[in-house]
Amino acid sequence: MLAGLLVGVQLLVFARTESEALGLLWQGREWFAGPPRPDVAYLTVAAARELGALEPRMPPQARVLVVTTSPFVVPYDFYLAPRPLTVLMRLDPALVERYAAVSPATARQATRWLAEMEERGQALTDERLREALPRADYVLVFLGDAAAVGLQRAELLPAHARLELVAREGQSTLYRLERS
Amino acid sequence: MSPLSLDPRALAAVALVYATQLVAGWLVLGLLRPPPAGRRTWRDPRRWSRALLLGPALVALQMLALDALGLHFHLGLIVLPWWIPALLAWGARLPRQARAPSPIPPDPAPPLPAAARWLLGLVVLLFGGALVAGLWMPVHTGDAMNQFALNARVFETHGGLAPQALKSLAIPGHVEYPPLVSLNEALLFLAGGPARALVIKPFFALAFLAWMLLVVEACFALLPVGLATTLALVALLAPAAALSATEGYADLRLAATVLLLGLAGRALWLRPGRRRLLLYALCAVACALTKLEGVAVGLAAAVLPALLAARRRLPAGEAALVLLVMLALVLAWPVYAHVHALGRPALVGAEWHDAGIGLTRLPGVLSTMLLMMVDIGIIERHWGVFWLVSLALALWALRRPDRRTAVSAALLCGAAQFLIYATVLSLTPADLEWHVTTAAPRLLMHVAPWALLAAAVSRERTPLRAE
Repeated sequence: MLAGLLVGVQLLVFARTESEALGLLWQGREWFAGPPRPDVAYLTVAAARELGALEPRMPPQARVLVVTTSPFVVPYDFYLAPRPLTVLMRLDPALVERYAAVSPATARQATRWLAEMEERGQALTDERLREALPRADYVLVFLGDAAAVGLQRAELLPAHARLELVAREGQSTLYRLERS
Repeated sequence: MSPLSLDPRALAAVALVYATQLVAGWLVLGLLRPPPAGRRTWRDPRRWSRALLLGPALVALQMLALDALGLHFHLGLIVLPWWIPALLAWGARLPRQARAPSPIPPDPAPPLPAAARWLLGLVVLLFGGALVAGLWMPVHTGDAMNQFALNARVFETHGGLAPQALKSLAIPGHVEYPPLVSLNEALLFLAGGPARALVIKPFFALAFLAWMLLVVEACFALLPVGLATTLALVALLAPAAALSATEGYADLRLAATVLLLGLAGRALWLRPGRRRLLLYALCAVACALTKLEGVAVGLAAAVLPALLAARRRLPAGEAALVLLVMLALVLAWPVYAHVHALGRPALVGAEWHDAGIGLTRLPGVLSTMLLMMVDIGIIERHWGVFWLVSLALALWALRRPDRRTAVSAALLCGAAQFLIYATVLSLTPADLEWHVTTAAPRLLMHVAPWALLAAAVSRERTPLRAE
C-alpha cells in the first residue's frame, strides 16, 4: 500500500510537471512557426528564425557586422558561420528594467553579460562603429524588442553610412555596404 | 529554410548517423561483452543501453583521432569504418547459419519478470513522447546552444577541432566543454544541413532511453520484483530526467553513463577480468568526454582498478596499462583545452570567491539543494519522491552488516559528488541565486545514479568483498 501511495504521488508530480513542460514546448513550436510575439522570451526564437532566414542572402566569405540591442546571449556565430563576424551591442537601461520585471535574476545576469561585452570591446559606440563599418561587407541589425522601449533602427547606424537594404525579416534587417 | 523543416535526403543521412552511433557501440560490445552462442542480442535491453551510451563515445574518440591525424571530418570517413566491419561480421554469420544451422539450440536470455516487461513498455512510451516533444522546438539558447551546439558548428565549419576558431567566436561560448556531445552533433550537422538545431534533438531523447533501460536493469537485477517495480517506477517518473530529454543538455547522458559506470564497476568488483576492466574504463572515458563534471568522475573511477590490482584480483601489469590509457583519454580534453587556452574568461568584476566567502555561502547552497531533493513535489517538482524512496531504502539497509559495504560505497560516491558540487556553487562568480536555481537541479542528476544504485544493492546479501 505504501508502495502504491509513493508511486501515485510520483505519477501526480510527473503528470503536473510534464504537462507544464509540454505546454511550454508546444508554445515554443508555435513561436517558431507563428507570428512574432511581444515577449522578452521570444528574443532568442526571433534570432533563430530571422538570422536563419537572412543567412543565405550573404556569400559565405562575406564579413558581417552585427549590430544589436539584445542583451541576451545570442549565438550569432551559430547562425552566420562560416562568415567572419564583428558583434557590437548596445545596452539600453529601459530594456534591462523591462527584463527585471519578468525575472530579476535574469536581468542581473544580463547586466553582467553586457559588462563582459563592454570589457571585450563589443559595446556599441560611435567610435567602434566607425572602425567596424569599413571592415564589413554586410551589416545585420538585430533589433530584438528594442522597439518596445522606443529604440529605432536608425538610431543605431550612422547617417553617413552608405547602406543598401538587402532584406528584412521581423525585427532584423540586412544591409550591404556600398563601396565607392 | 525554416529551422523546423528537413528534406528527405538529409533525414536519411541523419538516420544513418544515429544508426552509426548504435553500430559503433554494438561492435565494441561484441568484443567486450560477447553474447552467448545463438542468443538474439537485439532483444537484450542491456545491449541497447550500452550501445546508446558507448557508441557516441566511440564516435567522439574516432573524430578526436582523425583530428590528431590531421584529417578533416567527413561523413563517409567517420561512418564507413563502423559499417564495413559490422556488415562483414553480419554477412559472415548469415551464410554460416543458412548452411549449417547450429546443432545446439540458441541459449535463451534469462526471462524477464512480467513487471519488468510492462516497465519496458512504459520506457518505450516515455521515449516516444520525449522524442516527439523534443522535436517541437529546435535548440536555440541556453547551455544546449552555448556548451555544445555552438562548438559543434565550429567543428562542422572547419572540419576539425579548430581551437583558434573556438577562441575567436564573436560571442564566446563554453568552448572548454568536453566534446562528446559537440562532436556527435557536428556529425549530425554534416548530415542534416540547415535544420541543424532540430536534427540533434533525438540525441537527447536517446540518452533518456539509455537511462531508463539502465534503471530497469539495475532495479530488476538486484531487487525482489515488488521493490524493483516500485523503485524503477519512481525513478522512471522523476520529472528531472524526462525534462532533460527534450532540452538538449548533456546532464542526463552523463547521469546514464555514471549509472553504467556504477554497474560496470560492481560487475568488475565481483568478477574481475580483462573485458570487464576494458568496459569499465570505456565508461569512465565516456563520462569524461561528456561533461566537465564527468572528468572528475573519470579520474575517481581509477581507484577501483587500482584497488583490485593492489589486492591481486587483477594482474598488476594489465591493470596499470589499462589505467594508463584510460587516464590519458580522460585527461586528453582538459589538457588539449589548457594547451590551446580554451576557456571562458571569468565574468567581469566577479572572480571566483575565496574559501572564506564560499564557506559562508555553503550552508545556503546545501539547504537549497537538499530542499530540491527532499521536496516531494510541493514546491520543487524536479524529483518528486525519488530521493526519499531511494535514500530511505539505502539507509534502512545500513542496519544490516552484510548489506552495509555495497550500500555505503554507493552512498559515499554520491555524497562526495554532492558535496563537491555544493562547494563549487558556493564559490561561483555568477549570481548565486541564478546559478544555484538553474544548475543544481541538473547537477543532482549526476548524483542520482549513486542513490539509485545504493537503493538497488540494499537487498544484496553478498557483501562486496574479494572472491
